[in-house]
Amino acid sequence: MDVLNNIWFYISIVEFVVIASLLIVILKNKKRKHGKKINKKDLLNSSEDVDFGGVIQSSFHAKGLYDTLIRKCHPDRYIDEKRRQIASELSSQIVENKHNYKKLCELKEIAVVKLNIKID
Amino acid sequence: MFENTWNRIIEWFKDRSERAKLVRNFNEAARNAFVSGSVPTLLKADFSKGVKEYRHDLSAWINTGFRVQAFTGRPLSKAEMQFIGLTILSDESLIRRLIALGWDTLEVHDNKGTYGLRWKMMDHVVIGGILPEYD
Repeated sequence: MDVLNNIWFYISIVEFVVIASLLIVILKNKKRKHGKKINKKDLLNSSEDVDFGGVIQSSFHAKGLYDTLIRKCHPDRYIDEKRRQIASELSSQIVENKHNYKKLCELKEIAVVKLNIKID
Repeated sequence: MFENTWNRIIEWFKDRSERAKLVRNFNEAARNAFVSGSVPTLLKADFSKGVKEYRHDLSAWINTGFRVQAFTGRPLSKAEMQFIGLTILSDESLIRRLIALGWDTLEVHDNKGTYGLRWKMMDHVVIGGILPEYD
């Protein structure tokens, strides 16, 4: 109780608050100086748009769709040179996006339109 | 020196908060996908000890493993675990974020079997080009 009645106790608290705010100001200024530098913080901010839903969907559905697409869009299935070329391009994109369900869905739409095929 | 230590302390607390937020967001997305019926299995992300040999410059002090557990009710085959792991690793933005937040090991396992799979995250992303200060 004696400590709480002592004026120096309150003065020390005020001093602590002043020092803490000064430190915060110094830290903020430092950050501004290094604002343009690419660092860990920039890396974190630039990747705010992580699509967790997409990753989870891909984990379970991408494989089935990939297997279907890679079979249906195989260039050897097409005799016509133009369609064979389209199928070849699509196949390479399908392989690139093997684990990306959203991208595979887009490629499926393209395949249906351009190759004139049915995919369930 | 004091300033450097102070910065490190602040950085550590920020990273802890960001790490917890990322795990929470992952689990929330997995739960929503499971409840809505769009995926057949519930996934759960968690911290794990990690592998010492997989450490990199940005590795956290402790708990450097990002563990994904699949509640399948049956042992997953190696191919199934591999596909889940590679799907996560193929998401560039997610894996960059995991590395920046101090994770170095990705683990995938089920809730029934004995075995799981592990990957070294640094083998699946190129960040040297945009992080010259960490070279």
